[in-house]
Amino acid sequence: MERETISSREIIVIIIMFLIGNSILMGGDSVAGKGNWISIVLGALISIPIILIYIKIINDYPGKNIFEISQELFGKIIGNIITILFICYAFYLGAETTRVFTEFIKIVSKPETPQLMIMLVASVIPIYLIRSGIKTIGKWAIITMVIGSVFILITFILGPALDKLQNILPLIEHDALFYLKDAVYFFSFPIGEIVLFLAIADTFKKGENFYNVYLYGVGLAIFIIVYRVLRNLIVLGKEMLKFSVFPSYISLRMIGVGGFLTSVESIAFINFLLFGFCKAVILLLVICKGVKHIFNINNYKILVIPLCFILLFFGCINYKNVIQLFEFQKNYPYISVWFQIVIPLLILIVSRIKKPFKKWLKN
Amino acid sequence: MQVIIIILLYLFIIRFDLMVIKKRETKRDVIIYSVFLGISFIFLLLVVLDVKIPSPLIAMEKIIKGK
Repeated sequence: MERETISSREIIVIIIMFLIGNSILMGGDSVAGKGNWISIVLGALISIPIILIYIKIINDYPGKNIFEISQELFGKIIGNIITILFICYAFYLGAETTRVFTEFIKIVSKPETPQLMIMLVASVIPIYLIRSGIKTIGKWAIITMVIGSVFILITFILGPALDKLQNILPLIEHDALFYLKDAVYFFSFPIGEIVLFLAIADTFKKGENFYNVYLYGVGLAIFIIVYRVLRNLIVLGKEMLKFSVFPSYISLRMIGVGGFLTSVESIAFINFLLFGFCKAVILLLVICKGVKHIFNINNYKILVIPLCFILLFFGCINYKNVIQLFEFQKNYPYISVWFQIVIPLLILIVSRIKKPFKKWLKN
Repeated sequence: MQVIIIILLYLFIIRFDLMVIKKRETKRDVIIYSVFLGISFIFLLLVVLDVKIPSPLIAMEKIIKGK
């Protein structure tokens, strides 16, 4: 099968959309309250060495994904175990994304429609995009990013009321350790999730500067998330923010220009659809590539329909309701640390030991 | 109603997807595709028939908390 590639610009846009994904609606509003943005910035700083590990792996094995790399380094059995673990991780994240997605649609506009039916209708887009190939996904991501950015800009211009600026004061409420703990949580969700880009690294063009790609991708995503968190905090205030399941939606509901332009919450709805779809597409792509690797199938695209439906199944059964989903999120760093730090670090260490050893054996 | 929708959906997939894949891909790939399609059909039927399936996350939570 011909190798498909995407440009660095498309990777940047996909990284931004993937990171914003469902966090545009639910994430980033953690326990730190008024100091949320401090936790986010700290989380971004923590992520730098970890992201460097990912970039080094991509640079060491150009044109290969993490499944192929782990098989090359650890052999077929351990390589397949790592692949299965990553598939499970992608299933877990995919199920969470689809569930948040449909819970939101259900709460906002379709309370009577069965969840599975909403999921089935929404799944048409990821299935179509993956069947069309990574190039189409890249182009689609750029178009939707432009639309999404315009909407973000509109909310910025309409802006939160400046008289409520005191809502973000005092800037620092807790001690440093508290923010550090919160930053670790923020690293695990969503920044660390870009580890899954290692699974589609075989589609990255060889010879690109991945330091710049990740810098721009993650940097812009952090900027948008900080803006969103501050906006929500200014508009809603700390207490109301604590009890909001979808704070962006509620805060945009309250933004307006006098009595003239109000109820711009549909912007949050559209943005969430656009960015949420991107995250779902990438997660489904990772699952397809993983299953393709395990069963040694020629074309991963044929698997997209059954695997998408299995993903929807997990989206339905994993959580009873959205509250349970948020509760389980507290355990998330314990799961994610294995995929985001331990396995990539292990791969990098083993590859760095093995390569000189192989050279030495040849000589 | 949901059961009928699911059955019709899968009939549609078999007619317009499986048949196309059957012509283009190897026999082995078609079998793997069919197995996954069958699994997904059973899973979705279980959901629409409202069969209580324990969440895998409950087991994961117990492992994390060491219970």
